[in-house]
Amino acid sequence: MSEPAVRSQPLSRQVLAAVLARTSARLGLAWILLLVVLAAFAPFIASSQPLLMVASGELSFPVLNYLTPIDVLWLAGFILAAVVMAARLRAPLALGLWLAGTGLAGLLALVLLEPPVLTIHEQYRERLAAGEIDRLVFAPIPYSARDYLRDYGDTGVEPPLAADARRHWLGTEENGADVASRMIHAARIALGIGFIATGIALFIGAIIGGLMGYFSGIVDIIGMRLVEIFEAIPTLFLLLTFVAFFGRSIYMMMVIIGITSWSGYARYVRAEFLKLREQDFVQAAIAAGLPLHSILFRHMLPNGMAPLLVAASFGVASAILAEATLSFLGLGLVDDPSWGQMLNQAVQSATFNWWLAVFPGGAIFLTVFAYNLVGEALRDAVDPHTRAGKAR
Amino acid sequence: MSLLSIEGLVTELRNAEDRWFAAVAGIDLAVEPGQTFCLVGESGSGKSVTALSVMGLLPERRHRHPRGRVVFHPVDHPPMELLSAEQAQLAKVRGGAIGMIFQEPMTSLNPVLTIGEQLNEVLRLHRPSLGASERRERTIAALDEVSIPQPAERVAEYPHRLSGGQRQRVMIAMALICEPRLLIADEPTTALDVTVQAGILRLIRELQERRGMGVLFITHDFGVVAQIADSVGVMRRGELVESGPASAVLRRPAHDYTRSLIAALPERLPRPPARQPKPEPLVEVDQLSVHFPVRRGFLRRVVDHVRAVDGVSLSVQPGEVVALVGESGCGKTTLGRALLRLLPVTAGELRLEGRDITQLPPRALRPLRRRMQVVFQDPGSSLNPRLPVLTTLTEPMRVHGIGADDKERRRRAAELLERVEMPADSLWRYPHEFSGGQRQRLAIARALVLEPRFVLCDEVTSALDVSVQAGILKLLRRLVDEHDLGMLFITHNMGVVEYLADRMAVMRNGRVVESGPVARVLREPEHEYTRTLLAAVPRLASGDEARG
Repeated sequence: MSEPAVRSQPLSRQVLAAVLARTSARLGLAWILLLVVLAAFAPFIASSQPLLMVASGELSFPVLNYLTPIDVLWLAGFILAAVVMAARLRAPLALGLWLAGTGLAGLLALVLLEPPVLTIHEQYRERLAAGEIDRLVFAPIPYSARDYLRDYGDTGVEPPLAADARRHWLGTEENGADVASRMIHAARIALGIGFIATGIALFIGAIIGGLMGYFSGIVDIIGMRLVEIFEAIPTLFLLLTFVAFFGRSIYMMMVIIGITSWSGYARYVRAEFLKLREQDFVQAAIAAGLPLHSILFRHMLPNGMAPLLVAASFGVASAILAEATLSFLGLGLVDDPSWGQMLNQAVQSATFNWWLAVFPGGAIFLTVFAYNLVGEALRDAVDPHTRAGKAR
Repeated sequence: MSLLSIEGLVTELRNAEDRWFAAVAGIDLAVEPGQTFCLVGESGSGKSVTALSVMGLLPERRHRHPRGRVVFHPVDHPPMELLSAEQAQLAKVRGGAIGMIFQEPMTSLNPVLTIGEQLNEVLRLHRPSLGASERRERTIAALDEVSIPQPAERVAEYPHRLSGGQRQRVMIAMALICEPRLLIADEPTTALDVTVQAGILRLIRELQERRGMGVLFITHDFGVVAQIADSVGVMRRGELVESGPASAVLRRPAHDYTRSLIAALPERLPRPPARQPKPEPLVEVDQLSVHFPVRRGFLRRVVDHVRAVDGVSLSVQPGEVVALVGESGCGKTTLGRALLRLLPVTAGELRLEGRDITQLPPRALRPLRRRMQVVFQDPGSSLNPRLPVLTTLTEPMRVHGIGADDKERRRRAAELLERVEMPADSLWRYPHEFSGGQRQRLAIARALVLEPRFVLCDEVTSALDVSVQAGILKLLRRLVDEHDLGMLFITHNMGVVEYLADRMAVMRNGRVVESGPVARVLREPEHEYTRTLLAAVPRLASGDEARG
């Protein structure tokens, strides 16, 4: 039997179409997409290492030598996501392929890549000045995030386009590093912490909430007490304590934000599952003798996913805010760039450095705003009482 | 001059894609004082839109009337054209000279106000000259008129303390409290049990005779039409295909559509000859009880039990349909679910092909699940909206090891679709693309995919139009006969029982009060309750017509 030419639209596509129909959601998604592109291609957009070099008649690509496993992970993730989306696979398959492919690329990079331990940012500028190099092509922003411009002598906080010899579009921060470059590299941390912390929270929340909703009774009572315990933990203070005891680590922050914020998702999933369990198609699935994992993850979870996604898009925003808050308090990452940390520098020196407040602050604001716009559009799209929801 | 005359009314509605379509496409009808005009038709025929057009209750900017006039002309008033009337004038007429009752009694009353306050408000708006004590008197009198017991005490009750039938009575009281000349009733008894429905219909009839008001009554049920109508209009796709005196239209329908609708009534479907069922029982239920604990207090101690099913025994044999009838809340759905082990059994025994499955652990029960399958009532929720039909049909097959590979299973699924009379390309579609009747066919296909011996049907046709219902019933009967299935058919519709079932059991308050062959129980009911139930069923008089 051959498949018919016309395949109907699954519900997820219709929801996506309803979300994209809203201008605000399109703007939000566009901003997030821009951040993703910047984060994925950060080494090629802002780097002290030239993209292309011709020295003594030999062509080389220095920037590739300095790629770290994290850089490869981001690039592989971006390209694979584009490929998977273009292939129009079914959502669970696409997600699995993407995770596996990205993970494999990251592992390979970790094993195979050996970036130089010591990075001398100014070496190419100096060799160019010494006339050793015939031709150099730099990235659009020719400064790495951690290039403190030691070759220029005594550099520090400078407003945008203040120096004659160098061009810093958004100025420099207190160590003399380029703000634009640092902001682009910081997008990785913002996106990464948002997605991974929310991913952890969603995973835990969906499983605990699902079990509570499906089994109810004693499982539900115990689960709800667990939810209440975790809701009583103030995330920020827990983070502060952990940072004080164990030092600063972005991964630890992701995990802590993740395991303290699953309770909201668990509540959502529980409520959805309590409702879905009584639905006829779930009862029919039980009556057909389908195994528990199929009932839970094939028949119930996809139908209870919509409110979860809405909550998740707001959760990503709040995770980004949490990291920014921590960095602003000076408890974020030490040397890695972060928007919150730049905000902190804006108020630390004797004078108010507006460019250190406006650009990173604006980025935080826009990102949180974008996630909220998308979340709101999603909520309306899955709500059958609104017009966008009804149209499907 | 008629009380209400609708002349060439066209109502166009705007759909989600901003396109206008005619929900009512030019109808003429007249309601005389003291008479009842029944508008019947299937869902989507435009009968409710007609009523809402008359009342001016359609959403603003989403409807328009390109043509037509609706003239309301009570004896002592000048005639009034309702379509072009000002909102303020309309508001005065609505609830005053024209009363309206809606279908859903559970949501038509405001839950945070007492019924007395709600009735009082209507009076305050439309009879501003009355004083507070007079209004209270009238309120109590109105409740008394609709036979609410102890009206003086009940005025202070909130709606949740009243049953569905009582709430509908309060709605009627509210519609009638200002003594309207015209009552518009939109399916006022559809959500109610037959015995309650009989009471409400009698009440409307009585009040109409006493007051001499005209009634525009909207329904889909020909039995109700036969009970209450003086004149009938049959609607299809926004047009009035036939209208005239009730006796003429019902006895000698002139239009093909009316004829086909009446022929599709389940009690009029030609019945295939009953076959002798095999004597060995397929499913046996012995003294089955399902009790739900009532928990109270801090420690949630069990203080009492709701006896949803209380010692029921029945059996189903291969090749026969056993109907389980009863009113809402009698425990028939609970019994069905317990029978499939979807609910825990409190006491009693369940046997499937002679094997006791009452306390079988879930793992041991799973392979037996394919022997007994279920089709549910609500076509909207009986299929997983996220899965295409193919997956819904093939997943259970794979779990139970039916079919060698996916290709084989897909072939079986396609065969089954053919057997339930669905197009073959349905396999790749999603449930929301099908109509209610089609979804019910798909749900039947899903049940049959596992080649069950026993199928439970829980009110499978009660959400469907009568012509669609006829198709499903014929299909079910054919499947039972062809495959020697045993079927327990839960329903509240006596006509369906008459067509489909071989034996029947009548349930009340968790117990079976009477059971036996359908022909015997319907003709010579032994139990008092069965007699009441059967007497309450509105029927199209069939004496003067040859039965198929």
